[in-house]
Amino acid sequence: MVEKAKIRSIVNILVWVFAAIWLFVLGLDYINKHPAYYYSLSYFRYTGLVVQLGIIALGIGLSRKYLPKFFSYINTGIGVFLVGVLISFLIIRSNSELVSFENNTSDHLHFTSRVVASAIQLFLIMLLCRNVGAFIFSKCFSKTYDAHFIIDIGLGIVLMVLSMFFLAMFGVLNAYSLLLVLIVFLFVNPIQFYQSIGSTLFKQLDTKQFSMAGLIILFTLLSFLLVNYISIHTPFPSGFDSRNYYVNISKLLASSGSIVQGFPPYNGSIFIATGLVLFDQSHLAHGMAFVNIVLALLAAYTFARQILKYDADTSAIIITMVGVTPAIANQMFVELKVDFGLLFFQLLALFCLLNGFKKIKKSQQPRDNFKDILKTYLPYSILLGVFIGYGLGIKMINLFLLIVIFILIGWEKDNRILSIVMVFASIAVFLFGGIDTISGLRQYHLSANYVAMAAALLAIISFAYAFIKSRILALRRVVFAGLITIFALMVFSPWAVKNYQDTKSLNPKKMLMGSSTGPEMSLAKIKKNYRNAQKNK
Amino acid sequence: MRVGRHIKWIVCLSLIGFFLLGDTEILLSQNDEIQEIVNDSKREEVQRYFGYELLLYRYLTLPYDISVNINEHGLFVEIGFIYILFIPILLLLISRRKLKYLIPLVLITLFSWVISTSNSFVYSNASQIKIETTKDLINEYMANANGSEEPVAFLVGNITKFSLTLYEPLNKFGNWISGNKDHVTYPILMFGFLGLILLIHNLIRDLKTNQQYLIIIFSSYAFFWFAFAGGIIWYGYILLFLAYFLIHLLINVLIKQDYKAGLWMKRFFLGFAILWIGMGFLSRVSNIQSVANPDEIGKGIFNPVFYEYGLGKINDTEVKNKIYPNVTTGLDAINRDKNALVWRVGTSLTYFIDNNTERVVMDNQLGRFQNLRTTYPDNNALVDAFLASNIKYLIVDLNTAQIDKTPQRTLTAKYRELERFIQNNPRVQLISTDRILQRRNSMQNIEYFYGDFGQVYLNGYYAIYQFIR
Repeated sequence: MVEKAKIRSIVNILVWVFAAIWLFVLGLDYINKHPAYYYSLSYFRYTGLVVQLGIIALGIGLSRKYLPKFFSYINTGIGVFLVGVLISFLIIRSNSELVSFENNTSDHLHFTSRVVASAIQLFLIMLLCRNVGAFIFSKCFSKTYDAHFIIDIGLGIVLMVLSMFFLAMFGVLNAYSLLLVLIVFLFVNPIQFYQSIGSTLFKQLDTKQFSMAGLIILFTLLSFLLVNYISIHTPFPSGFDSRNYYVNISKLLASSGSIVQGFPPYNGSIFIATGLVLFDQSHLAHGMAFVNIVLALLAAYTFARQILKYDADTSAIIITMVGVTPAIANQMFVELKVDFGLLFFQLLALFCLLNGFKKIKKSQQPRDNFKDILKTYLPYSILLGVFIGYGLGIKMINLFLLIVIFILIGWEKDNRILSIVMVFASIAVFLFGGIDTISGLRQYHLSANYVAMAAALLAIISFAYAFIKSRILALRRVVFAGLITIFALMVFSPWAVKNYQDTKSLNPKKMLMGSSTGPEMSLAKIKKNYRNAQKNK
Repeated sequence: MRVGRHIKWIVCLSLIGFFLLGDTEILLSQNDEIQEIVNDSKREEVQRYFGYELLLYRYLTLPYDISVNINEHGLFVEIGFIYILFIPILLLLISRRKLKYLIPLVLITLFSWVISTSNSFVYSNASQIKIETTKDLINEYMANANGSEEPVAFLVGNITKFSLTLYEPLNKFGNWISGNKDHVTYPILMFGFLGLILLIHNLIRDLKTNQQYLIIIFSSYAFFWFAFAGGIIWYGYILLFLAYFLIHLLINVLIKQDYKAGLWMKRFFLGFAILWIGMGFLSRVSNIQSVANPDEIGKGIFNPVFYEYGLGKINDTEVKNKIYPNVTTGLDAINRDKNALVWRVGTSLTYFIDNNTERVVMDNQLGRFQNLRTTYPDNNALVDAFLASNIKYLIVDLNTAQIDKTPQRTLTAKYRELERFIQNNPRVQLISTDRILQRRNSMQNIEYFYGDFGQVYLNGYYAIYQFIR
């Protein structure tokens, strides 16, 4: 016993020593390869701004305890909005001395007013999406899930983008047709819309759950988001991919009013195009892209609080840590990719799935035959299918999440066979489907086909074993996974039709991925054209 | 349990089978390899995030590489060090009491660190160059480096020497089973994932249901990203959230197991969280892009031209011409000739071309150009070939070769070939560029002018050419 205790003690010390060495070695390597942080600190030119923001943050934090009446005014949507306006003005003004041209307070106010105006426009669009989403939810899903505003917004966005898709298919996507769609969104439940505005602007926010440190962290996140939000008020995007793809598609969509040929599915770009179609203003299109990260952060916060039961401060710290990550920040103001939109719908899908699991477990609904299984799982599958299918229409990489959801559905505490089935099946699907050709890595894996065949075989064998061992359990999971896939494909199907029109091919890969853009200009064609030109000479 | 035992045998037999299937492909003939590589644009564009070392080690070094930014660097790929710092440490602390988990974890961490740092670089702040981690280059650097001038690089150099020593046998082993292509990496990854799922199934039984789900979601998504995303960060954004959720979960598990240790790790995590938030804020506000001009460093919160636009002092066209001098000349020419096609090599100027999806032929990594060049080595014939297909304009990103991380510098070679085609070619006429050249005039004064070839003063971003009949 004494020996064991001694060994344990030695192992304990060694582990802590290893941890300390790991920290030291990793820290050195990181600092060596990131000299930009050194320059960021030693050439920091915005100390004044940081001090001003620090004073405001501290003021807000302390006012909760010492000036509760004043805090109650800030602790509303309109209060936060006004604080945001002040922060925006300070950020814009902080740069005035660092540029070579003359500028004054009236210029700063002009810029601030542009930022405020665009924020209001985007807020109204999102509120309309939420309004119609809440209406659909109340009619179709209220018995299945507990209501939540992120689900409402998600549903609203899906409906808006699908509407725009169909308008564009007929070549009638313009400001009037889209305005008509948004008016319908308003009038499905005008009272709810009016109440939403009221509650968003004037209702007291639930900040009691945050400590003062948590409030300061949220303030930091708000300031950080505003720095990036202000930066997107430009006449065109600055990033390579946003100019060549994402916002380029939006611009072409808005200018032609019809679907853009080529490209993989682009729900994300249609969403971004709202700003251009409605207002013909690039910065509003960029703003729509920016809205995606705000939604993603809200979804992540909701997931942390409601699913993982993390406290408010921890959840706030985590979303702030991700928000300030340079890879994320860069996308907020430079690249404006659609990946944030995908991230929002991925988090939404997981939120709905895990909530669904809880409800299914609690439900007394019998699930011992196919009909009852279908009845139990159908309502949960529809919403999940909608969000996953919409996500596939943003980027096909959402297939990763679909497979992860299958593995999760197959997970059973006391029975790992179905998860193993899902693992093998997913590997087989990915390899047979050639997912690894997208990154160009397939050519280096000489055993890819063998691995795919082996995985498929093992999937079939283990599924047969699982089915024999527990038919009902296996059936439930297959039905659930199958229903989600069906609804996802239904929501994705307009893109399959569009891709067929572009490629004239029923090849499943082409119907999923679409065609490349640009004129058809193969080497063979160029050679042929050259030969013909030489003949004519 | 019975099933688990059978699966272990299946895995072992399968792995042996794959080893016996055939040799790894590392020794192609020199010409075959170069020919094969030259036409692989994906290798140049996508795999720069993934690395070019031995195939198996490309995967195994990925977690460390993406955290420390060894393969590709820049704000757009920087995810920070918190994940790679806390996840291994927390797993080690949680598994302290079970040596059967602790020892493999320590070995995996060490192994990953050794192969990552031995296929990396040391950045010398003093000379502002990267020194690749080969024994000769590191020894040369250490012999000449001044430890007091750049202590961090010097220390990292010393640590790298140590890891290179440990890497020698691992490199031999890696070359024996893997190479540029192999049969074993996929089986190792796939069966490794299977083993992970089985292990997780055993280990997480006592956790709450949603905690179990979090671990499964994270592990599964991380595997698919790891195996199929080629190291591209934005294909796995959800993992950035899930990993922090996981770290918090592991801290809670450690607190239950050993309250004191867990509390300390929680404090460390909070401390580093605040540090990271500060660093992230600093990084964005300063937005360091270049350190060439000390007067301009740290002024990056807004692009000054966009800032001027935001203040209402200039319009869209003025913004375009300020950011890309002379660009409207070239773009107007292209947009006037509405039916003419455009051959585009890099750049994001597509955005400003009307009907660009119908008119722009994309050739970012010059794969198509290289094929054409091989078919038409004569400059006149190549111009005629372009014109015969109604391709009247050429847009070139003057920094195309900068993304070339391939060991053979294949993209650079193709770009040089493009330059040879353009330079002194009377049928390829420069319309506009923002590159500034310098020369001495007859009075021996230096004069500056916009041009494509000559003594470069400011490299510029783009050049637009017209093909002449």
